[in-house]
Amino acid sequence: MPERDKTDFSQFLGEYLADVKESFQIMSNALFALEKDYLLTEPLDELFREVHTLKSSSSMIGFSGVMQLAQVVEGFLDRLRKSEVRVYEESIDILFEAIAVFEKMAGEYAESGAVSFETEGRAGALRRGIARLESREMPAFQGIIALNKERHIEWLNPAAERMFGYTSDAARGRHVSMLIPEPNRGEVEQFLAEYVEKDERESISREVPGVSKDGSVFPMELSLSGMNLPERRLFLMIVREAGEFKVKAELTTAIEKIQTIRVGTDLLDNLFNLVGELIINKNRIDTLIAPIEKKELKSAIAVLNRTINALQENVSASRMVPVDEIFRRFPRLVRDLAKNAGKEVEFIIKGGDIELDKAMLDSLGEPIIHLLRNAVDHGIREDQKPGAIRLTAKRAENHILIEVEDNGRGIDIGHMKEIAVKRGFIAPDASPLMQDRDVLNLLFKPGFTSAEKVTDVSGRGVGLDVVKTVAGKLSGSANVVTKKDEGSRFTMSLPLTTAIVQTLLVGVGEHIFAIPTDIISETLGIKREEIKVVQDAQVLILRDEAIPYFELSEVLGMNHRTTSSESRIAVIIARGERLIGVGVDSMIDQKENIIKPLDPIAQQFRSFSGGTILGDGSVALMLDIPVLLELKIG
Amino acid sequence: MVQESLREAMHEDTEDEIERDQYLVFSGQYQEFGIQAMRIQEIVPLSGMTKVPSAPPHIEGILNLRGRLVSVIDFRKRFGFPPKDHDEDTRIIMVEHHGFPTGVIVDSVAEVIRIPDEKVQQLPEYSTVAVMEGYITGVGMLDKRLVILLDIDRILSAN
Repeated sequence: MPERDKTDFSQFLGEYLADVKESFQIMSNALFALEKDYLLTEPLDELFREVHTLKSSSSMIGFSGVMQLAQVVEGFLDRLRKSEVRVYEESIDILFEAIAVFEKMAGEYAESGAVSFETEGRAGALRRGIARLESREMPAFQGIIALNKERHIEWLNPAAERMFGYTSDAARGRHVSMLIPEPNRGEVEQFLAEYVEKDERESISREVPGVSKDGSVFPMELSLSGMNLPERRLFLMIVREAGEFKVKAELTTAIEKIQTIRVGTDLLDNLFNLVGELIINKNRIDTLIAPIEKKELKSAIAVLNRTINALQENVSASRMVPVDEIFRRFPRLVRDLAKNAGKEVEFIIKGGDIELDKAMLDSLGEPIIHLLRNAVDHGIREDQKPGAIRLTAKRAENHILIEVEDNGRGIDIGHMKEIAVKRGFIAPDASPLMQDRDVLNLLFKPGFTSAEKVTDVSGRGVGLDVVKTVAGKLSGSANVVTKKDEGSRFTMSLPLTTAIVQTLLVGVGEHIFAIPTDIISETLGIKREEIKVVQDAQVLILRDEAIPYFELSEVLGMNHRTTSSESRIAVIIARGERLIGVGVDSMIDQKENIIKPLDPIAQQFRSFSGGTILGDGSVALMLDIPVLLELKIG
Repeated sequence: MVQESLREAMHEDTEDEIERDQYLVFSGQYQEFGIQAMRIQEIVPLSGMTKVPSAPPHIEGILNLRGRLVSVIDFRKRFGFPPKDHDEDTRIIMVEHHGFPTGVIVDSVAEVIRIPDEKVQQLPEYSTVAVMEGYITGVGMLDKRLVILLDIDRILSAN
């Protein structure tokens, strides 16, 4: 160790020691936090900052040993926090050891002005450990050892120096077998000799143990390739640590923090599709074994079913992310919108931890922005200081509700009717008869705007229809409730997962269609004569109330004639608070089905939102009921 | 690593070069049609399809292709050729269209042949193909053979 002039900095020594002591405490706490959850980035940032400070202050006071080690650790932490290198159990151990060595070194410097031989040894081992962890994942940190034909070392690159603990100069001329531990030396040497003798053009690699200067043995992956120099041929041994490092397996943490794992969405989609295939085949087997009376077979299938269900739940859960992922962008947006509109708004977010399928969440951003803009522009009044807008996510049975609520002026239904008539959305004579909720539903029509002033910032007729369209695409629905001078609440109701849906399979003629059960309020068998015709429209009397009724075949424009004697099945669809009866020939089955997307050609037929594969391999189209009813009754 | 990916890219490039002038030839209405072979994903025998109510007649239905839902169109109906009963030669050509496979039912599939650019001619005045104007990229003139080369994307896109 170089001599150091103690007096120069003695006045700072006390301060330095107090600072680093506190710093070591912070570092330990951060490490404990990291140990609990390897995916956290905050502890790594904190560690990085502390080590960086330690490096500077040690350099200033002249503790070069601490400074140099801090530099190595700092680089390692930087790669960890950039996710260039993963966090393993070994990484945590090494960082704990680093704190201990820093502490020891600082103490010894303060005591005697030098670092003990023993501590120096620990620091060396630490450097090698870090080098190996880094070499494992970063090509740039792989060790390279150049050998001549006699397998004598020509040089080591810096990474190899760090991994093995020899300087390039110290190793030069020595036989490569010194880097291989005794029991494997002969075998590896033979492997090397064969390669060099054959002078292969192709590179080869295999896993062998390596040994560093301090005697520690580690598994390494060794690749060999030849390199031609003008005068002779060299052989390069490229080495990376190949140990199986432990990644802490805490599934629950991993799922909670899924948004921080980088898993390609392709991979998740593939998994999801594979589970889908599995369920289709399971359903197929269910169909096939139904007639077989064999107890053992049935119970084995039952067990299989349970496993598949658990698998499906897990895979679905891996796609879930908290709504906060998009919600947290909105406070800024609302602030800007309010500022532009010259209004004061208090913005409250609730239920940010509610989780939704990633794909679903991605498509929700746009409609929520439209709802927030609508609330700022049309809901909140200028004289409210401040007005409140609340964005809420909450669970309700099988659904997630996304609500945007304001305490502003509310929607003037009378005024909306006037606009609707003026713009031709409703006939003038129909206007007085229209129920409030039907008028409000016009808000979701393309081109409808309730803007008081046409010049209004957001009153350009684009917007709220996207809310309904997106909700519909996700097999959900949208509605609004409002009260004059008290405010409005827009709600999007979405199924928990889009792709796996409880469906009712119904038959019409030779066709089988799927209807998502969440929009069905009930099904009942009816007789033809229970369907009445009132003013050219069919109605079904359901508990003393006349509800609109359609034959599905008729809605779909099929040439399917139902004979009058036939008994019908009425599927009662709940549409907001309205009930609508849809007549089909038969009910076939009700089960969970994977809804597959339609290709661009089939997407042109708006009546269908997807399809599902039945037990016999055939396809049943899933009816887009909201669109169908829209087409039929507006 | 760079070299590897470079080699890969170059390799792929050459493959494209080779395939661009290769065509899958199928027959229909006494003549031969060609679709760029690189656009063909596979050829499958005819199997059960789900009819789509109120779809245009040339949409034959929706097929379960190993778990994917695939629309299938009938080549004859698409161009108003007289109908022909499906038989053991009938095939569905799976074409990549906007990232999805789409099925095209044809009378029979002949072979994959190479038609170099210099043998591809602009459309001659030719009665049968008049209805297909706009859907043809050219005509491959081979010895004693004439193959009508199709713009499959336009055929699948337009109704």
